[in-house]
Amino acid sequence: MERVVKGSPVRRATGAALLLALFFTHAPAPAMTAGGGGDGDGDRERLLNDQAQVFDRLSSLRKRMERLAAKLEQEGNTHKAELLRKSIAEIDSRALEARKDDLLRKLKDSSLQTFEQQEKLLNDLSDVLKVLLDERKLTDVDEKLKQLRETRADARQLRFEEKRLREKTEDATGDEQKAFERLEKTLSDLLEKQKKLEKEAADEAKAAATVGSRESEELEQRLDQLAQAQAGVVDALEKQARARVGDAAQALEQAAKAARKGGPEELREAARRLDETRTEIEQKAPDLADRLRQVEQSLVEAADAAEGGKDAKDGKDAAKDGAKNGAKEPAKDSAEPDAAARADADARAKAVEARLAEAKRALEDALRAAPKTPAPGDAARAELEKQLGDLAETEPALAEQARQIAEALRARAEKKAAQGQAPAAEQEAAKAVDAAAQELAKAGAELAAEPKEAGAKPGEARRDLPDLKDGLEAAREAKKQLDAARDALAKAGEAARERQQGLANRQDFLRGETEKARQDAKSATERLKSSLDAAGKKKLDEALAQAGQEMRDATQSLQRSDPEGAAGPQQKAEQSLEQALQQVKDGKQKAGENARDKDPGAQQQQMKQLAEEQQKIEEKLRDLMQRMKDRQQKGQEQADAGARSMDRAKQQLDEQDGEQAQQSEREAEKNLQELEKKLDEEETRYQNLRSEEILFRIKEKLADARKRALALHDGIAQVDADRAGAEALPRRLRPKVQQFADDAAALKKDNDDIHDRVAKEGSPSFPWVLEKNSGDLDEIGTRLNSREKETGSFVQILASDVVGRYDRLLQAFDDELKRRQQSKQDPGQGGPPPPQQPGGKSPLVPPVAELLLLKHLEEDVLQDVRTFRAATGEASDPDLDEARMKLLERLGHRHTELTNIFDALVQQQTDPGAPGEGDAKDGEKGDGKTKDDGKPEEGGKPKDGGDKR
Amino acid sequence: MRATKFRLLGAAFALAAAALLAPHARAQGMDPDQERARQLIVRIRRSMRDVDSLLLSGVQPEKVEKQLVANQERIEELLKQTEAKSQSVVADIDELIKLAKSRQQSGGGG
Repeated sequence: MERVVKGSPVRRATGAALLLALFFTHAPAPAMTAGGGGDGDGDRERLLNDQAQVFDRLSSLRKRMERLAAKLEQEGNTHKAELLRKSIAEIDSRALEARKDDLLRKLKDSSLQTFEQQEKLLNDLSDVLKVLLDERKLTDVDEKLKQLRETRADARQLRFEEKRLREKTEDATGDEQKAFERLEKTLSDLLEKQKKLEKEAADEAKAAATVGSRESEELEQRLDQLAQAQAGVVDALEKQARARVGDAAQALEQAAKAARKGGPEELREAARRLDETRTEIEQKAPDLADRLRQVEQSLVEAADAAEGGKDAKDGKDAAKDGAKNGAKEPAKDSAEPDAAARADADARAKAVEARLAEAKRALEDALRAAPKTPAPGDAARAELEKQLGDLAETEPALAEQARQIAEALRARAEKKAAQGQAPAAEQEAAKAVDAAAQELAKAGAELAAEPKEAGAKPGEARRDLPDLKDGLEAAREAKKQLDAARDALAKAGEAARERQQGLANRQDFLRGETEKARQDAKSATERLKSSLDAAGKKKLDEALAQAGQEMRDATQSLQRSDPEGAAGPQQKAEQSLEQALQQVKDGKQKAGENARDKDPGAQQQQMKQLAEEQQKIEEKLRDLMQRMKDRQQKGQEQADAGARSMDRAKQQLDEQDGEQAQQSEREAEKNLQELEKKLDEEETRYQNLRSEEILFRIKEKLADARKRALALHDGIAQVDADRAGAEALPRRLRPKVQQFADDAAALKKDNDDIHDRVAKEGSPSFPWVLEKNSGDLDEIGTRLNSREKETGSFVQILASDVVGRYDRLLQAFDDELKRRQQSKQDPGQGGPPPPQQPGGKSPLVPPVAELLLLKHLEEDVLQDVRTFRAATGEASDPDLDEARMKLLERLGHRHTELTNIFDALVQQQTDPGAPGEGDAKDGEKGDGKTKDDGKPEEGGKPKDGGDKR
Repeated sequence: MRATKFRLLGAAFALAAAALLAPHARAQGMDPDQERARQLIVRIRRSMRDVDSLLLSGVQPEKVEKQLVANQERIEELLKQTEAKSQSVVADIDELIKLAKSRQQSGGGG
């Protein structure tokens, strides 16, 4: 107690309150004293004085608590200030001070009510003390959790009762027969739809075989290959063209566009591009370069003019604005300049147009012109020339292929027409391929470096050079025609594929419906007394499962555009559906016979009993709702919905409407299930609150322990310095050392309390750290109490280790509290609450926090190894070396314990109910020997901590 | 016998990884994160055992007396290896923590 009173201000306040409560607890009962022997008046007088003093002390204590709270708040200790303020609020809300006069009067009158009043006062003070000691919050949370679990258990029980009632209702109302009737209808419909689908798929398969869809696909493929080959030729020719004229075609295209739009920015950009192209081709095509320069010049002029016009317009707009603001400007003066500007612009546009036309002609000439003979050693150029020759030979070969495909397309069109099918796609494709063949032949001729007939080109007598311009145009046209032919065929094929995909979708829908029917069949047959026996139920379920599987196979075939392959599975699906249907018919017949055997009067009586049962369940639910309301629990809405459903079910049972009653009963079950879910969520919330509260308290205790350990360390170090190496402790220092030994023992006791609290929560690593501290504190006490009264470096290192370990723990607790805080602020980022252990209890310390602490502990070992390594080089004295070996051994044992903690953590996550691996398993703990697979040969947990440095 | 034991141990590790990262998904197949966690757990365990072995094998008093110089060299080598192994343990635990945290954030379970 002295320690408590000597401690912090809050401890003093706490102690005072505790003393006050103790005083009441031990105060003699006034009635007894009054009723006993001796000087009755004197005793009463003393009691009155004592009682009055207690109230005076209470008032005085309240004032001190107020002052202390303000002081603590100023110092930033808000948590403790808040505790004090809450305690003051409790004193006020319970009107403790105001009871003084009443209690004293009753005591004076020896009233029997004095006992009750004092008892109540004692209880109230005890509650105030709990608030002050921060105990009430946790107790409240525990109580809330207990109540929530009770409510959830009650809700679950009610749900089971409701389920049982529904089953009885089903049994009593002959609902089974109706369920079979519904199922029969569902299966009949399904069978009919399946047969229809099978027929359509068969028709599709027949149509595909008749029109030769494979042949069509093959032709489409051939066309695609041809189009791709031609695309390659066009690419190669464009490359050839670029080698001769660069990007002139594109630059001129951009220039024409800019000239049409007329914006200065576009014009300048087009001019810039022309300039680039011109620079590139200056050597290769000087005439073209010259024409490009002229176009470029025109564009720049047009841009300047456009900008001038824009400035003039801006000026005019400004003038208009000025006029609006009062300045009178003659608007008519601007009409004439506008007309002149327009005329200028038109003239410039025409000039640009003319120069563009000239440049285009120059471009064509450059493409037609014979390429310059490659200079010796210009391999790239020589390669281009060779490629052009190859391309000229490729085109006639492709033209021949095109002619063959066109023939095949025509043959196929005739075949389709003969079978009554529309051959439009084939005809369209054949026409396009014919055109492509002509263009291919033309391209081949234009590109070939062979003599051509005179007058082949307008304005020219004879050409005997490769014409890249016309060759490229013909090649492009050929590709366009081939693409069109392929697209025409693909479109026709696509229509067939779409039809088959439609069939596949319908098949898949029927599969889904069959699965639903299977669930309905299960619901219909899973009852207390089913008309179908176990074998019948199994047969029904298997038949429907088989039908679903066959339908899945059929769907896949249809998706692959293989309607023929779908036929087999579809027929098997029909057979399975027929089997299931037969089972259902048998079940319906038996259910009908059972229903006929029932006595209608008895059935009515049974329904009445069920209605009564329903009423009882509803009453229980309403009682539960009242308890929930009293306990301020969530889930009232769901419970209320459940009660309404039950009320409806009761009325329907009263009206002998069993079928509707079952619906209401099902709804009630669902409502109760939702209620349980709501209560589960609430429980998780309270569990988290509880964990946080415990973590916070443990952290506070750890912080206090760390402070005391540090004071112990500093005190011992100071005494050791004062001792100045004296072997015998000077007399004047003895009381201090004794005090340190007592402090170490007290700290060990508090440390052990924290250890027990954390160990209870099932953490593998946190208690280990506290165990180490306990061992060290014990050792410190022993050495301080020894004959030598050790205060040297060893004892100081032990104390320092204790402080360091508290730091590690505090860091880990801080991290975990922060994580929880973040989780509350942003549930998406902070992660969900830690996983629950069996029995629904969340671990206080989640695995990540354990891993984090383990990592820090490994880092400590690593640091010690480094220190040890640095010191090893200096060793030369055999005694010193032996000491180092001992230290190394301790380090080894300490690390083995960390390994065991890791094992225990892994084991705990694998099987949270099992004891940690470090507990017992022989053959798992090592003497350190390991195999490649990471499995230790044999093992053994060190007997002691052995980590004293 | 040993092979069987290791297979069991391997399964335990796999489950442990799944439990560390997503306890609700234990019964399902492991995804790449879980597989990585399993590998890390195996590696951490192996390295920790190696550190135990290295530290404890350094303590052999008869050799200390007889071959002081040779022993010092041996210890230096041993400490170097220990340091490397311990560093790898720290790095692997770190990766495991990051994996678990990212898993939590993506809502893959606790």
